[in-house]
This record gives sequence, structure tokens and C-alpha cells, in this order.
Amino acid sequence: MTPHRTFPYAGAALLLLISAIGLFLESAQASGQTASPSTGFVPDAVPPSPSANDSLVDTACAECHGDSAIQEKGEGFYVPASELAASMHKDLACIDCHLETAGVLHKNPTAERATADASCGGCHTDQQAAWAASSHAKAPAGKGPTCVTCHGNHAVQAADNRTFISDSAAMCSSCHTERGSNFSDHNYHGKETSLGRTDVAVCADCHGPHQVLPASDPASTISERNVVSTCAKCHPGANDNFGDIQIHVDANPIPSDPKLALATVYFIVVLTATFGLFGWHMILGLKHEWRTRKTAVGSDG
Amino acid sequence: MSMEAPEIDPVEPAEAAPPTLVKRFTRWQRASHGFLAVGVFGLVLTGMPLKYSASFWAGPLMKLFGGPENAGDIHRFCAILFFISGLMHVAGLIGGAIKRDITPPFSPDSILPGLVDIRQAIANIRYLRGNGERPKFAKFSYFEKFDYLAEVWGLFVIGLSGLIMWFPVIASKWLPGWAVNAALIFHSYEALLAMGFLFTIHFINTHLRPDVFPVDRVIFSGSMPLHEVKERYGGWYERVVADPGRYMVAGKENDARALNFVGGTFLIVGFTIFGLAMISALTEVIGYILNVFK
Repeated sequence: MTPHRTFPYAGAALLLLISAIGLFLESAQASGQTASPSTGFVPDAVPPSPSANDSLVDTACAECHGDSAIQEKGEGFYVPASELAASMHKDLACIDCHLETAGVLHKNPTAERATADASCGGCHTDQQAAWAASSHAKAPAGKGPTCVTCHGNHAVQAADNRTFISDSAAMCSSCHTERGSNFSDHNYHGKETSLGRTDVAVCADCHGPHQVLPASDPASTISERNVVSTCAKCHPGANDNFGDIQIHVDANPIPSDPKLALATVYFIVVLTATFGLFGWHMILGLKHEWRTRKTAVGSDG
Repeated sequence: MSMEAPEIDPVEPAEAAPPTLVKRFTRWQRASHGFLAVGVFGLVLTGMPLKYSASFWAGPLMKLFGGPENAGDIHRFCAILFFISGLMHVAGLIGGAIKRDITPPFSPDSILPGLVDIRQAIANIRYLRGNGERPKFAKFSYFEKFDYLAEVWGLFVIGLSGLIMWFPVIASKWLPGWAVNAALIFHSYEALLAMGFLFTIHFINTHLRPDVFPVDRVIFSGSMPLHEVKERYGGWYERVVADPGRYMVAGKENDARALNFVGGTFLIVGFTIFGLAMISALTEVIGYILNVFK
């Protein structure tokens, strides 16, 4: 084989090599994933141990709430058994959280929700306290998110379940719309998350899950004092410059930061000029080609 | 090799004598182009779905590469191929300078631009519109020179911004935080510019011309038939025929089928990803325009 003949085969071999590396990485990753079982979250207080009485009560609750008919008739909430079975709280009794229900029968659903949130703090003391100190707790009543807003009610996920954490970004974005879309549209972490990765930082990883505070508050995870160590959780060796990297760039399409705006305007001009000029040139060439072909065919035949 | 002549190739030797060929690219340059082509395709295929991560085709394309994490690894692997092509080019220039067989800069057949290119550009545009003769191009015409310089500049911009994002902790030892944000903007737009340029203007001007459709095989074989040189590079042709010993090689045109297959595959893949990216880009632009009127 002459050297120039081997060339296309070398190209094809390179393409094959790339796909092989991709496949190898995929299988390596798939085998690595099984090795890390979720450790789950251990509450500060000792969780109540299930007693015979609890399961009796649960059976009683399930008599009404375990039947979808109750919700269809508008008489109350249906709690599917499957949802509880998948929950971190599957060993808790209903009344461990629904404190108000023990004794008084459910008359006031709004109060019940509030009580349920308060009951979380019975075991998850630190988290409850951190949330109580957050901006979310200070929001007007009924506006700020409480425990169940993010964790759900019955299908409570492990706190280190990355799928749960990544999905929670959508929850944050439902109020923080612009911050959320800037993150998912113009930030590497946000883009990778929206493409299905769960191992990159999302809202809760930088802003903290419970004690969410504005950057102006020194206690915030993103305050001038803390932001570098927050970045360094994933990026060891991060320095002050690294902490200055903007995460929510409003590139829609021109960012408000003047330096980034300049870079964007430069490219809009260059893109327009290049494709305008060369597009026009290309069309001229194609039209010329078309004319000469037609003439050539005409003279031939 | 008694091969059937492709219908579109106007001059295929019916006689037994092989066509006379003109050397255009060295083996080193062709290998460098190969690294560049494979690297760029890998980079575009794994990078565009990240740029347009919200588009309908981004997820499925990422899945094809084993998910966004693997796609990232492939992207960085192809970046290395891309850098290799750049280093090969620099090494080739240095080697050529040492061996003294490089085309001297600013000599007629150099790829570096000069005033003559402006004159020829104007003359060629007149010619394309039906006035006057086709200018007698040297070894490289003005748009090939632009193509080359755009590539060098692009490799520099996209390589540097890519390295900043690959190693943000190291980069921020010397650079302020906003430089990392700017790197994303540069990388993203320069990618669009490079992909757009390569997959439309370079493909159409270089490879999709009816004479060489679907690929200009000169980049694989390194040599070009003399009649093509005469037709397209009048100035170079005069120097070639004046000193055939220096410029010409005996031989035959290479196996068109294999090259057409490889080249054609690249073109189809390239146009597909370009089309998808254009759909997303236009959707984005229309969205921004509608936002203004809101």
C-alpha cells in the first residue's frame, strides 16, 4: 500500500479509537457506580422505635388514606403504600410526623402541614435550626419553602442522594426563575446538570441546603469570607480569583458585566461580518458555477 | 489500477499513462490535517450539545457518547489531538526552516497574505459576477489564506479558553475571576464561528466543488493533477511548468472510493451537526428578539 492510500484508514482507525475510548469510559463508570451505596442521613435524635401500637395505628390510617378513593371523593389525601416503602422514613409511624393527629382528628389541613414541618425538627434538630436562621424562614408566612417543599412529604429521599439534590434545583428555580435559568443556560454546572449529570454542584451545594442566606450576610456560604472555601469543596486549591468567578451570568445574550458584554459584542460583530462576507462570496461562487455548467451543457448538446 | 472513472471527474485518464501530479502538501501536513479534522469533529460533536444543552438533540447526542461525563472526556481527548495538529504545524515550520525547503514568507507561493490578495479578491469577485478573467492565483488563493489564518487564530483562541476552563484553579492563579467567565464566552462563540466556517465555507469552497465532489482528495494524497493547477492556480502553474523537477511527481491519482467514503462521511456528519446547531442558534436569536418587543 502506498503511503497516501493508508491515510483514510488511519483516519477511520482514529475515529474507531475515539468511540472505543468512549465505550470503555462508559463501562468503567457503570461498574464504578455500583460500589457506592447510599449511607443515608442519621438524625441527631434517636428515631422512635416502631412499636406494635404504631403499626396498629398505621393500619388504621391506611384504611382510609391507603385507598385512592379518598382523594377522588375529595375527603382527604391518598398516600400510596409504594411511596412510603421507598421513603427514608418507611420505619416511622404516621403519627411520628403527624403529631396533631394523635388524639384530635384531622380538622385543619393547613395547621397539619405546619405541624408536620415542626415535627421534622423533633429528630433533625440541626437542620431545623439552620433553616430557621435562613432567608427562607424569614419569608412572609406561606411563601418560603419549608421541609416538605424540598424533601417531599412521604417519599423522603436520603440527604446524600445526588439525584434528589440535582432535581431540587428545579424546585429552587420555581421561585428564583432568572437565577435558575442563567445557571442552567450559561453555566457549566447548570448545563451538565440539565443534561443529566448528578455529580456537579447545584443550588444547594453552594448556597447550603438549609441555612440559605444572601451573599451580603457574613454567615452565608457564598459571602466574601466563605465563598472560596465553598468552591474548594470540589475545587481544591481555589483562591480569591477563583471565588470571583460568576456563576449566574445573565448572558441573554449580552451580560450586564461590562467586560463580558464587550466579549459578547465582539463575537456578534465578528460572526455577522464573517458569515455575511463569506456567505455572499460563496453564493457568488455557486451562481457562477451554475452559469458555467449550464453553458457547458448547452454547448455540448 | 484500472478504476472506473467517477462521472463527475472531468479528466480521468483513458490512456495508460498516469496523470502527472503536482506536489501540494507534504505527508507531515496531511497528517496534521488528519489530526485536526478528527479532533475538530470530536470536539464539535461533544461540545455543541453542551453549548445548546436545552435543545431537543443535545440529550440524545450526549447519550450516544455515553452521557455528558464521557462526552467531556472525549472532548478533552480530541482537544489533545487538536493541540497535536497545532504542534505538528509549528514543528513542520521549524523543520522546514532548518532544512531550508520551506516556501519563503511573502514569496508568491507563501500562504501568508499580502497586498496581492486584495487585488485578486476584487478581481475574482468581478470574475464571479461575469466581468473579466479569473485572477492567476498563486499556490494559495486569498480565501485559502483566510481559511488558514482563521484556523491558526481559532486554534489559539479556542485552545487557550479551553485550557482555562479545563484547569480553572491553575488559571485563576494568574487570571482574575472574570477571565474564566470570559473564557466560556470566547470558547462558545469561537466554536460557533469555527464550526460555521469549517462546515460551510471550507467544506463548500474546498471539498464540495463539482470538480472534486465529495472531497478534494489532494489533502489525502498530497498531490493535484496538473490540469487542475492550470485551471485554479494560474500563477502557481507558471512556476510549476517552468521547473517541473521541483514541483512535479510521477504517479497516479489515488483510490477515489475509499477517500470519498471517509471524506463523505465527515461531510454528512458535519452538515448534520451544523444544521442542528443552526436550528438552536436561530431559535435562541428569535427568542432574544421577541424578548425585546415584550
